[in-house]
Amino acid sequence: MAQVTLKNVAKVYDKKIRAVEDVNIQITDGEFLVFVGPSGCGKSTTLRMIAGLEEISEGTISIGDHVVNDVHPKDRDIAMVFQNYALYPHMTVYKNMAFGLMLRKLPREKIDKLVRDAAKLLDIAHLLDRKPKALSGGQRQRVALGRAIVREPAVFLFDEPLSNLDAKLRATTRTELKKLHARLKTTTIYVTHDQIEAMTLGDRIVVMSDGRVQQIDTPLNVYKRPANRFVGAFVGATPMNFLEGILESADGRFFFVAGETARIALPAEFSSALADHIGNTLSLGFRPSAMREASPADPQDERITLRTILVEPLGKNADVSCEFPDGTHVLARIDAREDFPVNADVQFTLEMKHVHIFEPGEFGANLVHPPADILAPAAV
Amino acid sequence: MIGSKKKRVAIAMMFLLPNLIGFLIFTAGPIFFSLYMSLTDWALTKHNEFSTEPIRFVGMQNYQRLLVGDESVFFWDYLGNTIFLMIGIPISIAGSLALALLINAKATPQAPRIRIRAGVIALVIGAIVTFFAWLATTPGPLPDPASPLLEMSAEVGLTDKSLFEVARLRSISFTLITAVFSLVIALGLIVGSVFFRTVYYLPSLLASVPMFLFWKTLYRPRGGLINAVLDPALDTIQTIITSTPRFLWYALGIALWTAAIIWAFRLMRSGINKLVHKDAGAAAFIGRTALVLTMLITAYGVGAVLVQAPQQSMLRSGFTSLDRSQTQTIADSLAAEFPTADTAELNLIARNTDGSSPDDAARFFATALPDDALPRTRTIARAQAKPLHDGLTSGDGLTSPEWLLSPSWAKTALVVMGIWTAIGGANMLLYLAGLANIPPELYEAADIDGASGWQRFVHVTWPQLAPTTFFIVVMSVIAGVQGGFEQAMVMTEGKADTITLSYYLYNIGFSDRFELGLACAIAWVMFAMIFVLTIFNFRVGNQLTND
Repeated sequence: MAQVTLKNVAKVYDKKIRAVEDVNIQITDGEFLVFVGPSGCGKSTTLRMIAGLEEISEGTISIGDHVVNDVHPKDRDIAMVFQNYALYPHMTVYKNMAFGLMLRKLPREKIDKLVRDAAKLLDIAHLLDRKPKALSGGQRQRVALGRAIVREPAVFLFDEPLSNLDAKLRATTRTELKKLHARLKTTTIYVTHDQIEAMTLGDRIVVMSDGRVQQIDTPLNVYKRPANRFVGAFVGATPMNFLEGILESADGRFFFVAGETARIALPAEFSSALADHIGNTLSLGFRPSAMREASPADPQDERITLRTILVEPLGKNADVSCEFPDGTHVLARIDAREDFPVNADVQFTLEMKHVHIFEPGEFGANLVHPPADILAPAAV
Repeated sequence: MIGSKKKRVAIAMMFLLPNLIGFLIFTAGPIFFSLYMSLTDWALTKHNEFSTEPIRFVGMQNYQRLLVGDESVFFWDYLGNTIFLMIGIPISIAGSLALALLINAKATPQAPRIRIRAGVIALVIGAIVTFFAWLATTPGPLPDPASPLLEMSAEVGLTDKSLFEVARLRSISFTLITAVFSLVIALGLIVGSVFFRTVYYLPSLLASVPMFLFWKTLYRPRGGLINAVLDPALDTIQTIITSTPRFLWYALGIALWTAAIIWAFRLMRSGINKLVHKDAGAAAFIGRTALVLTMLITAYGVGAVLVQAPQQSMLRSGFTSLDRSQTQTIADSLAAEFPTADTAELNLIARNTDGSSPDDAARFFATALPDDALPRTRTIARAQAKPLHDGLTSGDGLTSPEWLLSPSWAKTALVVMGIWTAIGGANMLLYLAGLANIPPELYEAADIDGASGWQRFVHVTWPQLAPTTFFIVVMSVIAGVQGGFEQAMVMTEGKADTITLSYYLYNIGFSDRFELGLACAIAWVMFAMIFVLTIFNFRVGNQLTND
């Protein structure tokens, strides 16, 4: 059991390529922290630096109270589960799990007990005499997990452990991982590119892009209060819609004007946050679920008119692909109904409490719903 | 699918037919014909266009002669030589692996600027070292022909080259070696591992005969590059040995033996432990036992040399091999001494023992003589041969071996050359390919599990390379049983006890005796051995690699 602290950590390849930049994270004891981001964002590199498989170019990493920058992986008291499991193919499941303990010269009886307990916990006790070749993907995954568990390390490191499993198995294994963590309460650092995994597993999520941390927060906060435009676009089952436009002010109210296509009145709560940005180019972001069909009661200037292209019923909801007259694509998630008009102009209303306004650029900061507690201020 | 199954098979067979006919006529046919030949007394001296004598079917007689009959003395001796030469196989495989690991280690720095700087520095250092090597070894002006030094050199048998010539040759060799080594290191630093890969692979690109000739030059006892380096080194060691107390060398030898025994004991104990707890299979245990035995034998040899070093006589003294006229002299004197012996048989043996060591020749001659004649035969044979000024055998302390001239060193010389050829060849490339295929995550997992460098090798690299090793072992063993012919032909002409089974086959079939039936029998015995060995390899190999 230990906390992990990353201070100003950076990874530089060949003296010029900066793969990871200025990462500051405090992981508390027993926490399940998930790194998420698109491929190449530096999340795996960060994990490998914690594991000791990559040299730390700048900054310090501490596990427990010790700075581990120059500590060999085996002495960091960590265990790692790899994406392709990295089981030793010539060893039986038993030996795979016992190997790390044998190298640490534990007594044979103790190893035996640890391995059998872990195998029982993971429901692989009947596979102990098999070799990895004779196992299914899910079983291999469990063995890899077992190899990590038997060591009873202070920190578990997972590098996309579920991405080699099929969708159904991935969902069940995800649940089991969460149960396992609830039971073992070991500090866990988990890397994934799948934002659903991140949302469901993590106590907190670290969203990374371009080698930088974009936001560190609880799953719900990351979803509801994305620190910047990138986080908003990346997190969530359906990507956020964005409109580019200019902030205008008239009669003491603010309007978001996206060229000829839309002129959306913004609520009064936004005023203080937007006061300094009048006349600036900004992006308006909203999730498909923040849209609904306009009812006659909705004020006219909070509506937008879109041409519907396609309807995809999902059961309770339906996804509607729409377009502004200028061709900007928008996805709306509405309550499903049979006679929804396709190829027609339909008016939608935005739920303003779920609308975000970002500064320009891919990493433009969220102006109206910034994260409540900014642990790592969004970069750029 | 078109047509019935029968028709499809017929069409396929039609396509295969040209190859099949070729195979039947040029491969399968001759193979089975040679099997028939091995059961006859077919000999070109008896059955040719000038004779009418029919070829007789003799059944297993050729095999009987070979394995237990009159040819068996030669057969088993040459089999021994073949096996001796195969000692090089495990060493060269281990060497190939070590080389592949070294080249794969990516030790060269990536930035070209650093590499060029290091290379230039290495070049400068190399040039300086080479210059001083030349300064230090080059002899003075040609000595006065009447000087006592030259007379002395003539006395010890150096009539072919004056001492000055030898010294000059050595100096050139020494300087050359230093220069080449410096150049290789410098170029390697500049170009990186690709350069080493190419350099080590070079022997495989050379045609074998020129390479054998080249090594023949290297092995020249006087003036050859190898002894040019060995002579001063051995002199230094001898000086150290004579100037230190004797008990030190006894103690060293005994310490080595003790250490070897203790280590062997521990290795075997942990091996048995693993076997009992089913951590490792029977095949691994056999491998471990073989390794421990090899280590014990090596330790015994080195220990024996250490213990005997102060006495300056470490092995029984050696003799030059006999030439044709000497063996005939032996045959003649034996015929005179033992009137009951069959003179024709003695003459035949005299022809066959051309190039043997006197002791071997004595054994061969003794087969045609009364039972108690061996000691006398040996005395007569040794009287014909010259004693060698050989490393470890002369009673003069350490001197360089006479390599290809000496029956006790010629095979070793061939093995060393074989290792040099094989180490950087195809085996290294196979291992490099195998290493590139090992997933890096396995090493990372091993790192996190706490494996040391050696444990990483034992638990990741070696098992992952098992299929490669298996292939290399099978191919090397097959080549080893068939091998040794070209080397012996070019470098020793079969003298100095270097005849292997393939050379024996050539001698019987095509060079001395033209007994085609017997030659075919040798070929089939070799085939049987290869067959059995390969089956054994597959059995053990499958157990080790099918994980």
